[in-house]
Amino acid sequence: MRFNFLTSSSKLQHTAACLMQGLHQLGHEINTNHRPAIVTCNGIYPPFSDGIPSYVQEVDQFKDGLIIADISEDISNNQSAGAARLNELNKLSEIRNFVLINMNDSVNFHSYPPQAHVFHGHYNSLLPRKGKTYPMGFGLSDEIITFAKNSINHKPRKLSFVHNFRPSERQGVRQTLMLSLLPNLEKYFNIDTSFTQPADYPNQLISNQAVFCYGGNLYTDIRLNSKLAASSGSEIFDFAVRSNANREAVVFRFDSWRLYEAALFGAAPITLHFEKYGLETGANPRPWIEYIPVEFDKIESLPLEIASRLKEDPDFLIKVGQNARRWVLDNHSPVATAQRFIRKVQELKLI
Amino acid sequence: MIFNFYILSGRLHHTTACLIEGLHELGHQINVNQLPNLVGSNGICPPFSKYAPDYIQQTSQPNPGLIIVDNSLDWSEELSNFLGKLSETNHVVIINMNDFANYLPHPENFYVFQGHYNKMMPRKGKTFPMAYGLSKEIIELSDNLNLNLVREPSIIHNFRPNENQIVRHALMLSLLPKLEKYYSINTLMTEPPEFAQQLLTHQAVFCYSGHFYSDVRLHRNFFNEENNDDRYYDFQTCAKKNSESVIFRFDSFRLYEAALFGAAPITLHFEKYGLETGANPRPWIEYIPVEFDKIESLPLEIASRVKEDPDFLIKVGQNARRWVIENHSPVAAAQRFIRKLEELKIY
Repeated sequence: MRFNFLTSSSKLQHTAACLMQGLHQLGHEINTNHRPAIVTCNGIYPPFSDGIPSYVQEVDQFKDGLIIADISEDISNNQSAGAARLNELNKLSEIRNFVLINMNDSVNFHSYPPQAHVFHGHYNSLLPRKGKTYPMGFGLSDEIITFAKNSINHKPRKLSFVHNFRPSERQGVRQTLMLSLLPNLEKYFNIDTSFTQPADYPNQLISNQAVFCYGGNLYTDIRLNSKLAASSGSEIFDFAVRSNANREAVVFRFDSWRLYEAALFGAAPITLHFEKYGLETGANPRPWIEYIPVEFDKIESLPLEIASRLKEDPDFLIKVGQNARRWVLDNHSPVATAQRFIRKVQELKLI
Repeated sequence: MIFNFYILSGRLHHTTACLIEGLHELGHQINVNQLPNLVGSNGICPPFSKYAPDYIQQTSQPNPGLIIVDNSLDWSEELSNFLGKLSETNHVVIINMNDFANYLPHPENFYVFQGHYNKMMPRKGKTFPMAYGLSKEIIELSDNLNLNLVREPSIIHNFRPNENQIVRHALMLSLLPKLEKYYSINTLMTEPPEFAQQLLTHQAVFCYSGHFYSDVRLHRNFFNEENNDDRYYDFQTCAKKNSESVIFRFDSFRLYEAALFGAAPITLHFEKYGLETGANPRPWIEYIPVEFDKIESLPLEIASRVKEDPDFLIKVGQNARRWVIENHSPVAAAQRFIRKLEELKIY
């Protein structure tokens, strides 16, 4: 089959590039309107970091096949900024099947033409966007999988948790857990707060038993606040469901490379409970088997629960890390991502 | 004494207006460069809402001596420069109750009384905590209401959903699921007139608010990006590691109103999180303290105290009322303000 990647510039988001890698490995043809020059990624080993492969063909016109438009870099919180781009794609949809990929951090506040099929990051099933939207995980590149295979050794891992977050704004989940979870956890475990850059980070991941991977911000349905809803662009807050009371909060912008990288290098990921908070990656890990689940209302009991499981089996965290590695390779390698993507577009009868 | 208020664009913040009320009650003269025509307040009964303050004297030129400038609603670079010049000839006191007070830089020779003061990460310069406080009008309103109505064993969660209220959002997911096993939570959203009635008929009220900040100066790349002005992050202290987080924008009318109407305030532990109002209430006596790392045990702790004394929350509410009147009435706020000016030898 032929897959046509449409971008507004030579910038491509990490996940779209990983999808190209997977589709290629499955034997499909990859066309683009712009030959990618930059893959935006803060991860350890971005896709195409050794150069853009020759199988990515730049063409003047897409003759046939599904069009995949990566709009992650095109639209922002301000809907008008991406309006022209969406109009252009809207017109295209009248003559061709196409899907959108949007991995932008503010994706939960973006609106799309009603007929668009959108695969997006940070998908929250408790408050999904209106329209035909489907979850997409950040995923792994071929390059990092090869790199990890050559890096992982069988040296003992320290019973220590990596807290390697660079302070930044709008990280309410991390900041809440700094004040709630960390003081309780550090009564029992060593927390390694040293900063590392991507080049040193793999060493941390292969020498520690667990890694904090959560991220994101908290959101409440401001449509319940009549004053604010009236003054804000209604499209921005146009979700498929509505909160019932002013005491419901959801987690947005939760996904990052961190989870996939930690799992790949065999460190047990400590992250928010996916099902409980409606977080969807297309193929979530299982709590207590492939990750350590954090629940905001079980902050004091979580350290005790981990300690109790470790008492029962001193290799508990090491085994979670090993399971996490299997999970991420089975579900978020470029090939696994591409297979899941193809299954979905077939189900939608787009190919 | 004479107090000169320099008012910008006719707008005055609630706290500054309450200070004017208190200074006047203490017998001081109030001069202004222009009469205020708007008091920015979401509270139940804002200052000047019942009385046109005819004791305020408009003067064309600020008198020599201390000048008090309320820049809560009007901060700008130009204003800062103008006040900088003024401070060469007069002592300038700034009152800054802006939600972003913790990110606003001021020239070093200013004395800044600010809201949302966090002593774990105070701004550089001469900064002092200032609380939202109470107006004379709301105190009179509460004095005329029946504060001895039977109170439901229910807790008010009356927050209007808003963005950038991460403290509330986090506690929706952590505290509320545990607390509602023991108590009824009233999530009815009310406007100020009905809110007063709610406060009279419930035993406790959630009053917390704010957002978290971690020290972005630890993140070198952050400052390499364009449009990041490090003056906004110019604090007196620096976080030691990336696992530290502080709370900014914690204060609001809600705490003072809840206390005034005798409902036990449930809010963040002031001392633990460095939150300063100039006169904080005492935990478990005048408010129910929320600690993020003790969220699971807090409901049991409250239940246990209520089991020991069924009137526990009602007594906390009564204590809270005493605390707020003694410490945050216009007169109390004005007395504290004057004491500080005298200590600073600028009056």
